[in-house]
Amino acid sequence: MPAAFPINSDEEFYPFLKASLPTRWRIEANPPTGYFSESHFNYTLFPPDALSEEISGSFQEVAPGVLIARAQQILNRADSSISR
Amino acid sequence: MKIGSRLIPLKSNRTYFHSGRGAFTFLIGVVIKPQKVYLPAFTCWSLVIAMERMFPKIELAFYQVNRDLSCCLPAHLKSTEVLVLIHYFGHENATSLPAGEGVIVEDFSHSYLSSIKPRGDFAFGSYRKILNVADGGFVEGYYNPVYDPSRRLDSWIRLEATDWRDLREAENMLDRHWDVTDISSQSLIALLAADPDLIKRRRKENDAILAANLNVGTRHVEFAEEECPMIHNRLMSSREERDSLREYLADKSIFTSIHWPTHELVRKQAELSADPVWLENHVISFPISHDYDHEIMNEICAHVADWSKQR
Repeated sequence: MPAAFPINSDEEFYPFLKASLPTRWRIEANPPTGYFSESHFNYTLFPPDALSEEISGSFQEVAPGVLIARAQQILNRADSSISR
Repeated sequence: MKIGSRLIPLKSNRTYFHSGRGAFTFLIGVVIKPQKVYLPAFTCWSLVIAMERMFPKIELAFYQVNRDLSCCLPAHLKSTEVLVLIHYFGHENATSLPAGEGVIVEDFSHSYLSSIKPRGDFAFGSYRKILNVADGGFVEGYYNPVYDPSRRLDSWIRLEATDWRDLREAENMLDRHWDVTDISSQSLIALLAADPDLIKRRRKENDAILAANLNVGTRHVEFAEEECPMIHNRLMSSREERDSLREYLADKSIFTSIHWPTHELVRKQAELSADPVWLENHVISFPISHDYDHEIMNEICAHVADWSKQR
């Protein structure tokens, strides 16, 4: 399954997976509620037939490209789970 | 006139942006280019952070705002200085302007439906505070900005949202971006199709219901006939009381807000921060959106009355 659009930055992790994951997969955002807490992220990935996975941290601290690679890895995993 | 090679006529007296912050950034960075900017000590952090991140070489100062929202502006403004005046919550800020050649920039984010005659040199605002649009800001007057490219993924999330978490995620994504980008076509058509008179009437009715029926706190802002309220602010007697009410209402799925937490740059200046911090600790902001009907307003009042009885 092709990605809905190319991912260009770590900050696009959530919309990229939300738009690209196949139907049985799901990702949810659990954003912090503090005023101007925009640098923090907290996402939960729900793969079918597996435990949910939490992905959290700070965009200011994450090494550049790490979330891009993780998003592509997750999408590849989702693709292979469909074709199995 | 040469037939067949006419210039395109200008069609709008507003220039649109992705956000109010983008509009402000365009004014400061492209149009005015000042050496010093005065912001109110009581403000949304968006403007403060825009100055810090986008214009670290421009001197930033704050002026005093009292708890009744009256302002103590500097007496004189130099030609290289900008002062930002906010019309808070839909109400005209009628503070006398400083003398001098300085530039006055008015923030109409809360008040662009409030028939307020601009007194400054420039005006800008955000549309998202009043209209239910995914993005949008404006500068009054026709400009022709060269916009930064954007995929508007924050707007995409907002339009995909099915609950508050995605709305918040979209807000966070917007807050991480400081480019000067264009408004989305979806938001532009929504705001051009909006009925300002209807929005104003419904918001005034909702505000009036809360003003008449909320049995706690005191009203913060009195609106004039031609003004369109953005929210209904109430001042509670203590932070503990305010937080207790917020928590109670949240349990009933009624979201209230605080306008605003005090920015750390203001907190460092004791003489400026007293009243903004007092407001931060006492204010509760009730929603009065025009898509809420009287029944919803009465429901809010009933829950507040229940909370009051239990105290």
